[in-house]
Amino acid sequence: MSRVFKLKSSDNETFEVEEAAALLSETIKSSSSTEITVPNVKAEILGKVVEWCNKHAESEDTKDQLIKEWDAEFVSVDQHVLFKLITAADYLQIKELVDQLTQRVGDMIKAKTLKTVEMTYPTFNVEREVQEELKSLGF
Amino acid sequence: MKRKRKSIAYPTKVGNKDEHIEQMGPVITDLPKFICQIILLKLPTCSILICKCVCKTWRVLISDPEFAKMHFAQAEAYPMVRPWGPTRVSRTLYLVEPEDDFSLAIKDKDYLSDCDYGSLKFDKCHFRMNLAKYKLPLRDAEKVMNNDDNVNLMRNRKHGTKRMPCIKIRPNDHKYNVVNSCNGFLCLSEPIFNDPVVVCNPVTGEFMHLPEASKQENQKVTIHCGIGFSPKANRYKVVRIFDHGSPHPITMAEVHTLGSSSWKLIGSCPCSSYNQLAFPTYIEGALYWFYYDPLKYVILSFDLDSENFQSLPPLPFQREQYRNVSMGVLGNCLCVCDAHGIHINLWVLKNHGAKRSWRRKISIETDHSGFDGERWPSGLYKPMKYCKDGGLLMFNYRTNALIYHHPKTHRFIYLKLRGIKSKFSAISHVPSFISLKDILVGDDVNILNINSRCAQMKLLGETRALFLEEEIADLASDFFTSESSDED
Repeated sequence: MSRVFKLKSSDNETFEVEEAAALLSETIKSSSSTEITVPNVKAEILGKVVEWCNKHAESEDTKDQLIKEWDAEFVSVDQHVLFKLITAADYLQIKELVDQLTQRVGDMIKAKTLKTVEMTYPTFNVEREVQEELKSLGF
Repeated sequence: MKRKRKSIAYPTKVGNKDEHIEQMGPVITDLPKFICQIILLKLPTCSILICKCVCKTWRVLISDPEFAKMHFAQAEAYPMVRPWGPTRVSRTLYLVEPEDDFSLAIKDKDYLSDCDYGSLKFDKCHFRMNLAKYKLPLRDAEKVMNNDDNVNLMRNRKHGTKRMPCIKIRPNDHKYNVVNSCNGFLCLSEPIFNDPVVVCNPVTGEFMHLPEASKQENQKVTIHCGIGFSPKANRYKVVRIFDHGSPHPITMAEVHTLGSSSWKLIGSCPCSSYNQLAFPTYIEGALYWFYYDPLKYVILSFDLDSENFQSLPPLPFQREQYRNVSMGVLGNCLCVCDAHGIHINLWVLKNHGAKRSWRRKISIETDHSGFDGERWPSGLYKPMKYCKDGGLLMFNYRTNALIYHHPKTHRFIYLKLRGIKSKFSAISHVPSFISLKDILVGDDVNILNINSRCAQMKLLGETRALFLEEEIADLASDFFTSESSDED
């Protein structure tokens, strides 16, 4: 008999999650109740996390090409959504999701920093263009 | 000398400062510290250094010794190449880090299939390598900083002193030899007798001078040395092999623990100073040197914990005229690379409890090119890196190229160093952010940093960009040294 977990967002929306998907979260795993409130995470973001969990619970093989493509699409979001997702995934302790999201942020940084052909000296006077580019990432 | 810059157009932000402040939602520095650490740890070294300059929060995070430790725990060895020649000061090192995972190359079925003659070149995006520049200190930096040594400046004295954008200095005064790399630290020696004088970390820019060592009575003998780490003592040590005593000098070894004030004489060395010790290599608590006598190849091993020389089992092949043998590190083992005729064999030293033996790890037959005109270059190969996907990266001295090969296929990817016309030398190096301050014994040592001294100066010959280009190995360039072409 599979249990159903209820996840509540900070704006009072409730998501029902099947056991298999819910147990991907370490926080839920170690929680005594089936109703968990996730503070500081709005419904829009929590909904996406639940979507990721559902997708990963239903397919056994995480190395499957289709899953990888779905994951790649999942993380191709606006940077602010990305950071909010990281905060949520971190609170729920879903390691794989945190890994994928942080890898995406890393890739975005890499893309901006590796454009500099010649590495300038690590002082405060880094090339203005690089600084501007990285500022656009939201630093 | 014009600066060659790959111009990549990217949009300049013409915006109002207020627009940046008005951003909706969290910024990256709002993320918790350990998440930032996870993100930064996945980046290549040069990206981390750039991130260090972006904001104060990240500067503090990256400068933290805790970050350096975490980074080193997951760091891998990469090839570090250096333009090398008698007219060059050669203070620039280039660390070759892949932009993407090497494992991408194997997903391409074209690469694996030997029968596929269709694609002439591998899809270049599989091997985007980033070459980031790091600098070594100059031997006589004060001279350069005071402009006393600027040859360009001197020449212009007749016409009045004119500031040249590039400084020209004499290699004989300023060049260092790079001896070996250990846990992110390089041992540098003066180029005439190879006397070890400096230890530096090219990533952080820190360096320190070693105290004066014992003098050699016979000044003309080459000194052999290397830097290593002693796990039991948790200390870094520099070993120096030299001739001691007169009128009949004996080859002795002495050790300096980094941070202490002197060298400690160990005892005699089982080889003679007439042996040309080459390929100094550090791995797992010991230093190794490679040499040969008329009949065989010998490897000298020095254990840094017990501070004495040890013998190794003999190599499973004899010394021969056309063998090109080098020594390096592969995985976590000492590796000897033997390029002979149409074979390249890589032997690793394996430990079975107390017993050690040589095991052939990789065997390549280089006459199976599987493709028209493509040939493995001949010459000396040095093992550089054992990739996560099982592929092997080696450096070929004769053609100045990196060769990538996966055992599942006979093909290879030939990555040639372009942009700077020079001979290159290469070592395998693990980039690290660990500060010298955290590894020294005492606090008496003066730690200098090239970034506060000569790093900003541009030397003549340093302005060209270096890059790796995937090419078809040129059969013609093989003409003079390959024995197989003699048979043709």
